[in-house]
Amino acid sequence: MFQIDRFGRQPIYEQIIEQVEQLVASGALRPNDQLPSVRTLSQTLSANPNTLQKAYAELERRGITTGVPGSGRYISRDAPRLVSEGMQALLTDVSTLCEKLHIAGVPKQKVLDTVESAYAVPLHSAEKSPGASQAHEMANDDAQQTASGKDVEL
Amino acid sequence: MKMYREMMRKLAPIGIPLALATLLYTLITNGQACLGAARLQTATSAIGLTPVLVYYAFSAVLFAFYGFSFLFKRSSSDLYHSMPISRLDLYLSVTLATVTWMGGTIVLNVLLTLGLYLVGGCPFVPVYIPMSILFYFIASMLIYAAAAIGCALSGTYFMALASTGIVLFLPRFIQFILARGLILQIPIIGWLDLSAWLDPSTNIATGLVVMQTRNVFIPQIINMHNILYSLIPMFVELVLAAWLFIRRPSETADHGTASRGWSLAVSVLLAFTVLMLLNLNKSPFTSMFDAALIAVALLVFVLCQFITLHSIKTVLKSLPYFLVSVALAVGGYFCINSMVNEALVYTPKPAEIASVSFRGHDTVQGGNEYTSLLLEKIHFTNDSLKKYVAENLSSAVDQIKADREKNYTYTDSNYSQYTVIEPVSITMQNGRTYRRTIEFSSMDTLNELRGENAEFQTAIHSLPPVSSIQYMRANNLFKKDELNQLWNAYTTEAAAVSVVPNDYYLDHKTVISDYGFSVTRGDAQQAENIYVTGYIGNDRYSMQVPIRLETPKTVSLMMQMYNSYAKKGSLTKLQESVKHMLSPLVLESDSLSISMDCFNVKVDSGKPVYLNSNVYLSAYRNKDDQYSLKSNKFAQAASEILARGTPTDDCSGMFVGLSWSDYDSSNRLSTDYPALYLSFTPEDEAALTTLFSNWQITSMNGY
Amino acid sequence: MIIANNLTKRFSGVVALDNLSCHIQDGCVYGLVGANGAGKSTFLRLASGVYRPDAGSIKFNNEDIYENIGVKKRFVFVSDDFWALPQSSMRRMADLYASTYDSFDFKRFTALSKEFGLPTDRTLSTFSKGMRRQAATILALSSCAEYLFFDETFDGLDPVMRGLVKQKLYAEVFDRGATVIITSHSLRELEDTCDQLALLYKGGIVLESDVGDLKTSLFKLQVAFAEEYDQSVFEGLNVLAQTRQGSVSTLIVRGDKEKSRALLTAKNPLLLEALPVTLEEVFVYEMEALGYAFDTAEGGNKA
Repeated sequence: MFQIDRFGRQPIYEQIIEQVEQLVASGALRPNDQLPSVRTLSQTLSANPNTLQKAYAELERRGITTGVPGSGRYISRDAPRLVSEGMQALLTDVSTLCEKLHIAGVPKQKVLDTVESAYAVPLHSAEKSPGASQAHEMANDDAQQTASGKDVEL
Repeated sequence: MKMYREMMRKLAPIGIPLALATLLYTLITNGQACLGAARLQTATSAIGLTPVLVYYAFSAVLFAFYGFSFLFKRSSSDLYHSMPISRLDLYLSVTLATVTWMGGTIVLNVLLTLGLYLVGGCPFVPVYIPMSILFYFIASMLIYAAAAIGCALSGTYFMALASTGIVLFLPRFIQFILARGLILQIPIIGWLDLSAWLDPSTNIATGLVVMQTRNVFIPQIINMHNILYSLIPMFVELVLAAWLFIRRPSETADHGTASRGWSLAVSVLLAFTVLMLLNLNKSPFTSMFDAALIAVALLVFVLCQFITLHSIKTVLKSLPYFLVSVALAVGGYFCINSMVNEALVYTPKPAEIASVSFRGHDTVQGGNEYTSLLLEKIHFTNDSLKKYVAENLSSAVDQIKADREKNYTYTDSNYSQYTVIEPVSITMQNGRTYRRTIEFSSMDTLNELRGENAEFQTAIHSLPPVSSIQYMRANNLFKKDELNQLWNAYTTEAAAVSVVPNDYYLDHKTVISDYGFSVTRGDAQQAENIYVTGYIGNDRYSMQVPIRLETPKTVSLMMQMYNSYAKKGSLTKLQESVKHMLSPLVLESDSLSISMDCFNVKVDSGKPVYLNSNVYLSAYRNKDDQYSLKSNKFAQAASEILARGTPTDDCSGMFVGLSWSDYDSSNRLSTDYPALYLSFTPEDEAALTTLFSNWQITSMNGY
Repeated sequence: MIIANNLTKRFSGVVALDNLSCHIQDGCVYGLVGANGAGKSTFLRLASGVYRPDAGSIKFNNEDIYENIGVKKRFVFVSDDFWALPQSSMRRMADLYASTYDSFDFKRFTALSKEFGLPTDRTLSTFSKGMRRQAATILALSSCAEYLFFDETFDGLDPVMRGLVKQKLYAEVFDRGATVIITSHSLRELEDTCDQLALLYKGGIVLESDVGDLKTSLFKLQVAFAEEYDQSVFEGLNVLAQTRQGSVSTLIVRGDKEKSRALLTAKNPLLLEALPVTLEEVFVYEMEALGYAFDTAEGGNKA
């Protein structure tokens, strides 16, 4: 589920938070889905458990996850809403980008075409990505009930 | 303690081979001694119970260096010190493991020797078993403690070895040089006369080293007094080693020593050791050799400093400390001088002396005569003796003072055959005791004065009690019961005739006279010697008991015993042998040796004398050699007369003890003919007398 | 918690650690980085009770560590130079460890050795350097001590082995609340292993912080404006360092990334990019901020 780039410049802790938010945004992770335990994650990623603990703590602080003592961490009910709200902030970036493109002399139609093609991608195809099934497998490692596979509708 | 078990395991590669090697060595050497033919001549002293003399010395150092080996490398030192074990526990583990391995080996070896003694039937003193275990254990632990101190102070094997050497040997080395300096300049003080603080035998570890070079200490070295004394430095050093070990920083590893002060001290002390050798001379700093020695000392100092400091500049800066070594050596010189002067001051007046006692003239060479054992217990108080002692002491001191430049020794004195040197203990009225080895001008005077004391008379007439005797030997011929029979006959007769067995205590002028060459007359003629050794309590003694004509019954018995062993037809054989040696058929390696003990020979108007005539015929000699020719003639004449002799056990008249051996080189056969005692007709007696008298002159002159 | 307070250590007059203070929390993976000779090994040895402090103190839960058996039972030290008894095997060394560590677990030792593929009965002198380091680590782990000290143990270990070892260490940290203290001269080595980092420089700790905090405390901004501009445009930003080429300025800024960006965006820049910084750069700039003229060629943080 998590593709950690250890040799990149972004701290692991930030990468984890980002990736969880992305997966929630894309719908690969839904409310009540269980996240892998720190221990499992530490072993699989060869990452410092304290660092992972910090990332999870931050996610909880942001309200994206809730922790059930003795039972692990789950995506909260508010998560999709919170993430999408966060995503709204990206609009500012879009605005800045458009300004730049405008200054650079890129025609507006080109930009609009790009937006169209991006939105043309169906929403739930992310389910079929390897990342999603991995997430479910890791959750299974924590002795949860097997999640039912969802049929993909294209 | 788990670390103790771990250290036991760590030291096993040293402990096991050493144990096996020493047990094997003990088995072979003591086994040979106890079970072999030499058994009867074995000296069983505590030394004989030794595992291997060398073992205790080297194994202790090995165990220490191997057990503490982790101290000499940074990686191992850091590992051990990072572990949850206190430094004290570490030290104790190594020490207890050493005690186990070393102590165990010593005990096993002594028990093995005990077993060999029991199996071989060798007599021994039972108390020597625990005593030798104690002795070797304490000596070894003393050395271990010194090595442990060395390791605790050092970070490299070199420094540890140097430190060990210094702790172990330096104090005793200083003592040795001082003592030797004193003895060299004052011949009247011998090694056994030294006061307690100069006595090298009290430290049993280093004492055994001294014993190798000064045999006088052999009977002294193993006694409870020294063993108990040595416990003190052992404990002190073990505790000191523990304290130093606990304080030792782990970072010492790979660097010379824990403190720069100690490395400097090592260099100073090693240089001092070399410089002290200058005090082996009476007047140091006078010869080229001395200059060379100083140069060597300086070199040693510089080298040691360089090994620890690694930089020429800092070594040169520390050079002034070399003067400390020099100062110490000079101090030694003055110490010796002051001791010498003090010794020369002591010339007591007879009135100041309370009593004197004598330790026995043989102890000077490390002997242990039975008579001396009795003698040293006697306190002489007669004034004439005190005066004689005081006079001789004063005269010796005066001579030393006068001849100090000439290095006076006893060999310079007016030597006559009556001058004797005896160790004396003088007890003053104020209770102090001085020990001196004094030269007395006349042994007869000394014995006469001593003879005024009744205990002395008893002592010189005494023979060792039969129950105390452990070995008896007269010759290679007599069996044990024959010896016992002879001994019993002798002791009975000697008591009746009031024999003084040790002719040292006889009156020489009247009894033993000078005949131009030494002869014995009358009752003083000696037929045989019985050699005995044994123990009175823990004291070992030996005695050579002469059987003289003063005890004729015993001599007679002895003659009977010898004659019973005579080979049939030996007289005829002798003649044949002589003929063969003179014939052309004789081979170059053939030889014939004839020995004749002639008793009661009337050579002059005085008492009859004993003459010993020996002749050796060998074909190897040049046929033109005058001496050979005379030998041949003598042998021929003698054998002719001897052939007419009759075996006898009568020692009142003239008799000859004839023994001979020949060597037949064609068969490589050597035959011995034991003594045969013969008597002769008056004519033959006269002929023999002339023959032997002339032969005495011939053989004396060599032509 | 291990706390060093004005810790000083000298060797033959040379000062190795000079009034060093730091504190190591329980349960963290603490990395100590510094140039060769900066004093890392010395510090580790003081912390594990091998050396005795000359001045100041280093204490565990308020107790001195030196010669304190109760404390040392919970510590295990692995040096960079693994020493073994002559002719010994791993098993033999395990016996040595077990003779002092009551908690030594032989089952664990066997299992770990098997997992790492190391033969426990072969003489250690036949092991390669890397294998020896692994052996040392296995022995330390088998002692079940809660505080593990590693002196440059992982430098030079191949990535596969390093990964395996890290897994074991993380399991210790997570399962048993162990604390791991690692020294290295390479920041790169420690960066993704530790969650606490300290920089040792000239005998003292100059920087001690949570790794995550370090990485997010600074960021790089590249900004350009159409018009001429001067420093005043950057007012309100905590700028640690900056360079300028033409109209493009590169700033190293401490503070909140979003707020800083917003501040600049308000000024209508032609170009505004936020870039992450490497931990190395963080160290360099923080040191400069502290007043250390830092020449990376002479020492300090090197990858």
